[in-house]
Amino acid sequence: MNAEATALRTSATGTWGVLRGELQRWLGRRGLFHLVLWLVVIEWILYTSVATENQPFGYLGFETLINILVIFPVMAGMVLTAAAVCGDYHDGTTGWVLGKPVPRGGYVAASLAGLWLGLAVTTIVVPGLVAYWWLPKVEPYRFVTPEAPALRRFLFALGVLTVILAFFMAVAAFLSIVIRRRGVVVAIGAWLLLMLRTPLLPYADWMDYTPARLIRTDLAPGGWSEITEYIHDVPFDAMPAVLGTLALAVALVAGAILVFRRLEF
Amino acid sequence: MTDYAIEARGLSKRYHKVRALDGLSLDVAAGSICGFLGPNGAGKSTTMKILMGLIRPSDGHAFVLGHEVGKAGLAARARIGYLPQDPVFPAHFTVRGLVAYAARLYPGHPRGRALKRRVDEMLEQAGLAEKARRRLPGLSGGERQRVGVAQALIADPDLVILDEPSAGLDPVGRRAMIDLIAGIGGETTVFYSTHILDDVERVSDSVVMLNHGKVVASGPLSSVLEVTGQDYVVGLRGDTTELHTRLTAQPWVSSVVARDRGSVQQWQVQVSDAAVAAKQLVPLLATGDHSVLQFHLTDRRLEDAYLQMIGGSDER
Repeated sequence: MNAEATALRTSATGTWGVLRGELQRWLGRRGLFHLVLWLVVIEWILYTSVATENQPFGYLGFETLINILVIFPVMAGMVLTAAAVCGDYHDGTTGWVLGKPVPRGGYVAASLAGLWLGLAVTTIVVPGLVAYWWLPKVEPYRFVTPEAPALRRFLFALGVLTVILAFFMAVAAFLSIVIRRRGVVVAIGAWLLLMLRTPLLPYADWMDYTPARLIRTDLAPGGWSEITEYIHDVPFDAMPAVLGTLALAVALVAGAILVFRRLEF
Repeated sequence: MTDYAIEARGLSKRYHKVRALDGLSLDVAAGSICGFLGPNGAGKSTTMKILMGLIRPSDGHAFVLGHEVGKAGLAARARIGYLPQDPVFPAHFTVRGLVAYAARLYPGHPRGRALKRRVDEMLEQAGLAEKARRRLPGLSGGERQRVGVAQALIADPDLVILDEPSAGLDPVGRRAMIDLIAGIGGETTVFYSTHILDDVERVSDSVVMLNHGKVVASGPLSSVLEVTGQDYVVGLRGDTTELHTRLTAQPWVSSVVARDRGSVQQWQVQVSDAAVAAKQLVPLLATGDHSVLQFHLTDRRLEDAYLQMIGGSDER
């Protein structure tokens, strides 16, 4: 076997080993904890905001669900990414792993991929599907969607939400590697989420290729996001935003890896 | 394999105005057990981290197992087991889980039952068999250190770099660690740092001593002890003032340490040239207004050599 093939095999083994370790983590206590936590939090907030007589807002059930599935997973993703990157850097765990035959780029990519997958399942996919099941069955006091949207459309929406999660996690990863202060990273990430989501930032044409197009709402009844419109049978014309968000996430991870390769442990 | 598992030339490392390493050069022969000695802050951990590719040298270069550090680090690390100082491992693993995780990071690692067997074997060797299911945060410092050694050795590496493997271990644990190091030497090169000089004397065949980022002595243990000279113990009674002046004026006498034992004075005479001392010391002692009650050559200990090279109060 020549040197290049050996190096490739070594890189692949190390990277896969890190990813496998991350996934193992989610298959144990951590996964169970997040699954229960987010099911309780998301379903409870959804129930109290759309299916009780006292709910004050005029949102439809699935619009509320999509809003919740943007904000909570993204905030959780940024907090956990910052904690993982900054925490492991400062306590020496990263230095230990990099003492193994693990390429630095592979370590960053595998750690983020494992975290993203775990969070996507526990904070978006499972709570989303559970809500999809019970939301139309709830006594429709007010404004609850009378019928569930088509499952195919709903699954696509969940997929788009995982892309949005990936983007914000990539932002947090990049900032964490550059700044290495988790509080600052989460504060910047939360500010970015607020800016992209609300009309506080004037909308420009180039934002059609960013997550702003996907998550921006008017915060008023009827001010649906693109994703909510899509699950309610409106044609989806924000595919450039999905691809742009994905491309931005990949670019941010690539930038994070470039900076990470220069770090000392 | 090349003749040397580790070769470093002119390694320097600066942190702003602090010079952690200052043109360090060292060779560690393949298959040897090399003790890396020096006071706190001498640059031992920095050197090891450079060899592992975790930090970059400001100057100089190093080869590990024939691979230049920084250029082919991955290929080198695939054949190295490393235990950092005060290791921190991912907290969610059990002891067994962590060692298996470490094994899976190496190319060509065993799988399935073969991996389980290998992990069991390693845990047994490190004295952790009964703690295999314990989670890492519940371990004592000594147990964590043993986990660190187990994960460093799991891939059967050609070179093991251990940064203070005996730190935090009780005497029994320390002895087990030293036996473990002695057991893997020969086929595997072991490069380890420690402050416990007795351990180094017991198992190492070579040493590198570092002070202020520079190598102050290196080579086979016997030659390091030889280079630092010999000690004579002399018991004297009477007026020794003139003898003391004559002795300390000799170029081959490094030091004369005097201790009062009642009416008898006991001197420890450290000589730098054993051959000259053998010829000239006895005639010198024979002249003067005193009696010689005791005279013998002592075995030089590594501790003596260390203190001579580095100085008892030379920590920074």
